[in-house]
Amino acid sequence: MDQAAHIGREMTDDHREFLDFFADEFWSLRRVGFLLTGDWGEAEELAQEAMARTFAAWSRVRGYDRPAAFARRVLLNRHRSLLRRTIVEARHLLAHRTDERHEPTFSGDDLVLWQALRRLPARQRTALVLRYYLDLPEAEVARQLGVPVGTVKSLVHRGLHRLRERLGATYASERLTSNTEAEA
Amino acid sequence: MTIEDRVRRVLAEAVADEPALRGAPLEHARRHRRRRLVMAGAVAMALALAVVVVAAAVRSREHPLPSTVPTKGWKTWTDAAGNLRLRYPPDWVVRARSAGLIRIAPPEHAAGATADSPPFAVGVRAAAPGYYLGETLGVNLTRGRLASGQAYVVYDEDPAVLVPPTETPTPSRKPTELPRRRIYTIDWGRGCRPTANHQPSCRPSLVLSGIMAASTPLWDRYRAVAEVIVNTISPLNPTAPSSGDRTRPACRPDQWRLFHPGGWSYGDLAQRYVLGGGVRFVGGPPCHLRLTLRLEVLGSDGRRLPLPGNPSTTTIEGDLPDDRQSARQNTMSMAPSPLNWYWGWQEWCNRDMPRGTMRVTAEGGATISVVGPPSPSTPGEPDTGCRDRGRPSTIAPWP
Repeated sequence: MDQAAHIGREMTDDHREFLDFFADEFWSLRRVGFLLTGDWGEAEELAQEAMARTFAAWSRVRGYDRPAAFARRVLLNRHRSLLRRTIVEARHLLAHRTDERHEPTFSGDDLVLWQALRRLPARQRTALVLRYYLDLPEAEVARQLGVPVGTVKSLVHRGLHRLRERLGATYASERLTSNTEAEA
Repeated sequence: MTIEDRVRRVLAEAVADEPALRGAPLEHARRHRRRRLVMAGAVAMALALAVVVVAAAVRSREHPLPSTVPTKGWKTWTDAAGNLRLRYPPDWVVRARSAGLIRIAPPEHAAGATADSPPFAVGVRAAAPGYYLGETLGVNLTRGRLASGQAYVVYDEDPAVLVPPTETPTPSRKPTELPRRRIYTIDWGRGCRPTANHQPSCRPSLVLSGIMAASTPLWDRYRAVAEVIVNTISPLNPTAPSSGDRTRPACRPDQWRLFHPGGWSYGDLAQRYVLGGGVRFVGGPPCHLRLTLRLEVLGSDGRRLPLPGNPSTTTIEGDLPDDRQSARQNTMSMAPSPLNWYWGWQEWCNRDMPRGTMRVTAEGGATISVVGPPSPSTPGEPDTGCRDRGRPSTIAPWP
């Protein structure tokens, strides 16, 4: 059977709905993937995977209040999967020149901060991306990561503390705001 | 500006200048779902083909590379720095794509040999640190050995994720028009390098090779020759075993402990739960560790679940401290190492399957226990995508 014709017949209402969802959310997922991995190619793989799994479950997910949260959680789980990483790396090692990496252009303290973000442990980096890039409240970050709110506070606190250490004197005396302090 | 504001700004600016897409993600998503939609119909056919599939699976555990292509008169390409050589047909061309990465292509496709998606090429990346089994476990791997004796694992890429960028992501290609790619990860033994404190660091290394085709007809036309090229990849000088130095003294039980990175990992579109861990170095002189580990999957009552392959044993071998999992390693990933251990629990989410506790016991009694993933139907738990496909649940060392 001709594949294109087959796909054409599949185009039902929920498929059209998914197309809209895809157009709205794919790019955001890809950006989150980049902030987690530091590699656009890997980010694209993660976002693709998240969308593929969301599409597979679309008949159920479309009824959720926030289907994007489902897709984002899939992406986080895939990123967390220690088995995924080297497959993606192997593919890109073979397919792309190492000098093709697309890096953001920072200088000065911003470069220090970006590099420090890249070096954070994965859980701390993930918590900071969800909290400060997506501006999710701590309770939602906790839901996305599948951990208690106290753990999110601790991850964010420790992550920011490391970043302050890297930035040195500028932020050495700054007190972290109350909503990011670790639980006593 | 507070540190939080600064983080917000840097994160936003880091993704402000994003590159164009490399693939066609919508096409990938739709193909992925279509596989699920046709699953019910495929079950009947799968039953009819079961015997054939099982026989093929058994054969494919050892992936034989073809040897019927005549190699007389082939040229030799040598990379002295990478301790590597290979042979290729005299009319094929070798193109350097970047340092340590070459492409070998048939003459009619020489012009596109170094493109992101070449018409047809064999890519070879020189030895780099890493263990060939590494973490490449999420896909269905096949093991084998090159003519030189180097062990490898190989897997085929899902064509849907290899589609080049398109302006309109509407699927319009026939399956035969999709790219094909086969990736080999080859054991390249163990190499030692001096370090800042003059103590040599000896780590396993690997060579990557890939057969890339822009379509199935090109794949069918050149694949046999390409596989023979891969089969000729060999070290210029013999490599030390990646499993370490057996002349070292054996590690004492107090020099190491078992390590699990936390979290859950999956393969085979989440139908396989993979338990993986490594070994941490506690201290003492450099030593060699060869260890047999036993996995038991226990139910909530502490009894062993009645599953084929339960209990299961595997053996790991490497050097400490060289192959340890570092304390600085973040808790979500592990460095590839011959001292890592893996088991796969296929169809772990079958209906009525209890949430298992995985208990790994080493010779000498060291034990580590990991609570397995929750059932996908558990309220409030993330949906991994695993579904009961009516296939038996089994446990085995992976890969």
